[in-house]
Amino acid sequence: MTVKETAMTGSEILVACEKVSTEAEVTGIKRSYRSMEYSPESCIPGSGKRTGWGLRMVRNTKLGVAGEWGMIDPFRLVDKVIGSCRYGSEAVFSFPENSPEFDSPPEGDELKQMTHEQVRNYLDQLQEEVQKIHPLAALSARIKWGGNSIFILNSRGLSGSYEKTTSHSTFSVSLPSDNGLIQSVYTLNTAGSLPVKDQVIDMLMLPLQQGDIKSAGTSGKKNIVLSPVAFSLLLQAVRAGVSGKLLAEGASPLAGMEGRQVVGSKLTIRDLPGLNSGAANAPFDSEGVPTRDKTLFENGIFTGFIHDLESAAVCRTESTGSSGRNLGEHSKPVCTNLAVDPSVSGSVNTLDETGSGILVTSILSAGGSNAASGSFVFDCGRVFVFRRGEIQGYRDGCVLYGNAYDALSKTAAVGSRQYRAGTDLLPFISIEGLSVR
Amino acid sequence: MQKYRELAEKLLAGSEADFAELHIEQTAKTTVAQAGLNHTNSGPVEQFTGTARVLVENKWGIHEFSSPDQMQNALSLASSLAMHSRPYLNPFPILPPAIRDTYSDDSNGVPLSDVSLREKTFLCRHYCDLLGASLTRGSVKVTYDELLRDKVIVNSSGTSVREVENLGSIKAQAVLPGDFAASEQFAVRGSFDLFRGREKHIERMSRNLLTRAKTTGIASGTYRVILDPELTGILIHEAFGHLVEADFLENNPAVAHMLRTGSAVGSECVNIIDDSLLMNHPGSMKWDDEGTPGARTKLVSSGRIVSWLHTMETAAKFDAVPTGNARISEHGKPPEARMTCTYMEPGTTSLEKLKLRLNNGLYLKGFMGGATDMDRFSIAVQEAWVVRNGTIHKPGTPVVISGKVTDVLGSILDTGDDLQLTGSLSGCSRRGGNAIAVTYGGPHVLISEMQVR
Repeated sequence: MTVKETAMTGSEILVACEKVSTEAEVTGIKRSYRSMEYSPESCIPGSGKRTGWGLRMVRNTKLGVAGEWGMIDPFRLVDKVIGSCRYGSEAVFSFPENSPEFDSPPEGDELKQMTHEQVRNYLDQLQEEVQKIHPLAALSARIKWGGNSIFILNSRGLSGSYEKTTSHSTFSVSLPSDNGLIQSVYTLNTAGSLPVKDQVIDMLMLPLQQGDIKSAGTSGKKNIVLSPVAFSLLLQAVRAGVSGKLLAEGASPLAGMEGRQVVGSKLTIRDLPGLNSGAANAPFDSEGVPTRDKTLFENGIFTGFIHDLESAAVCRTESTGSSGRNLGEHSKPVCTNLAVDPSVSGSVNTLDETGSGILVTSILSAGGSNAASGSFVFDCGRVFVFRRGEIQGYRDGCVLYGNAYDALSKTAAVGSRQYRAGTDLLPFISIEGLSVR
Repeated sequence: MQKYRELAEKLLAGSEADFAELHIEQTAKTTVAQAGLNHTNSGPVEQFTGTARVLVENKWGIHEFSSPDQMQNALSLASSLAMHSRPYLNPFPILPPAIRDTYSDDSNGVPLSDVSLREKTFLCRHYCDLLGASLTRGSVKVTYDELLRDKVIVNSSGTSVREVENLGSIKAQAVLPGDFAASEQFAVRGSFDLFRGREKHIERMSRNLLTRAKTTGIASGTYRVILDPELTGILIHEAFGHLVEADFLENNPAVAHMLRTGSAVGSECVNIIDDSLLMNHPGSMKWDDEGTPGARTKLVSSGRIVSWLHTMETAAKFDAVPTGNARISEHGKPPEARMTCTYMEPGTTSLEKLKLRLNNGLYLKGFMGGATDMDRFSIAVQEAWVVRNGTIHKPGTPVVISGKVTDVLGSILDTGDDLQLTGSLSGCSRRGGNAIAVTYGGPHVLISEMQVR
């Protein structure tokens, strides 16, 4: 289906809504992908296509939403949204009117043209690199890559579309050791090209370092270095906290903190929907509002919330173009490509600057954490003890706990290189005096 | 779906591939959420999806499609993709039996789809009000999730099965200031009846939470503990179940050797089952996602390994009987060997006797989250109660239990005489994949040593 054909179907759905709604909005997604399942035992190429439609409507002042993937019947879709409006929440905002021309993100030609053969070679090379480091290590991976066409149309005249090429990769390596099996999993999303190999190797092999077993150690405050993968989980609190929805509900711990120092002055945290290599890039959000890159924390000072139309209306402000949602679901403000600025000097992994402490490369479980309040309880798998910047050995597990904002306010050092973790772009981070048990 | 099934049968009857399979599904997902005074409902989001999988000259190819008229093309595309595949070195898969059958949840009580959105909305509001009335501070939320699925699997060896599933869950959550949290979930397959009349559970949950808000800290260390049935189930699922998924073992020969048939993994009282035929539970399947009939598989008997969980490929490779555990977490992806309804069999000891045998230690209840890296497991526990001289003494702060997979089953001293199963629509995710519905459970168990933090 071309963008033009998509627009026609979208228009048909809008026409079907004319007499039964005050306002209506149609979103469409077309995905066409290739995939590769890779393991020591097999290598299975795949492909697929999916088309989906979402419809949001205001009827009798109530907001309703529904969606369909695959076989689309406009009238059935409208009927479902009418049903959803009956028990929907009160609509407190209007859909946007026609917007200026959107700049479509540049096409990821390298990724778009990538064949199964090329991806298999890429994975074979990665497997060779892995085995150079650990001859017994076995790489498994799934890479899914392809094009996405996104389309939006509403009854107030807004119309927009864009295309982008992204990849979603999960790599895992397992390694038998004297002390049991060690496994490392690394998941990341990119746009335009496959993940950079040396970054994948760095993140994947980091948790597999060998060394002497250290005793469990005592509970108390310790210096902690978080890898980008572990840091990404700590930032869940920031993602929730900066959301205008949480502010509108009166539950954000950042309420009233704008312009104040909230996290360490070494931290500048940005939301970058304009980042071309970021898989979450988009010229407009899921409500058709143009996106823009935003600094959320400038040298630790909180600069403001992100909003979609609803949270902006409740908080009497403007949408920041931060609406995100799955097809057929309600909008909420979301971060896109969350990035933390690397330091201009210093080491990649901050171990030298930190001196002694514990390096956490992955979080096994975050059960009991509450992203809304910022409290966290992270059970870390294997962690590494370091002294004078050198890894001395590992210990089997520890629990980190506390409040994410409090932890981030104790940032002692930030690494000099960014790595991808999911859609985030993050360096290593060193935190002073985090509670460990 | 019947006409699409017939079309699939017709297309596959003429297949020249070594093996070809079409898996088609129609689903409808609905979510209703009540958070304090805020109400939202999403969906239904309806979806038609299919996957064509073809084995040609020992090479697999796979293609996802989104409309029935693309089935023929999907088979061709999967065949041509197979040419890019590496030769499949394992023995030819053990194919499911050539049967034509249908199973529908509609015969099993009031189907979820027959209950109005109005009643589902009302129930969420009602339970949320009830929770909010007793917890004047903090936040409360009640969510209803529903997945209606009509699934057809047809292959070139004459298998044609159709299963109509009604899956639903209600989850009540509450958080008090100071981050004291509680959640309770009921999940079913089939009838809506289980969701009605849950007021007493909700009231008990809020009472418990208020009691626990006056807790004392529990020092990190190794404790003698009793786990409730939900935690026993999670322990079995995370600490053991994932290890015997044969596609994991296929890539990890050292672990496969450690977990070979007959090897001891637990104490004598440990008996573990995976039963996909418990049809009123969300993890169940009459047929797995390759069309192999569901089964009750004994995984551990008297502490020793009896079987692993298999797809048709891993069963062939390990010269085993197919167990009907092939599951897809998303279309376009090959099936994986995964758990369905996994539980520990009960013993004969009452909870009161278990407490007496515990004497001094912790009674742990409720699950807040957990994971395994295949070597260690970690489970966040909702309630920790200090037990002194065999009786509950006082509530403690929430804790995390963790340990080595290989150690914990050997530390089980006794199993209770009760059996309780818990399910979830999105209960299990593996290696970054989408979550699938699973059920887990067991009796209360007494464990001699558990690392508590």
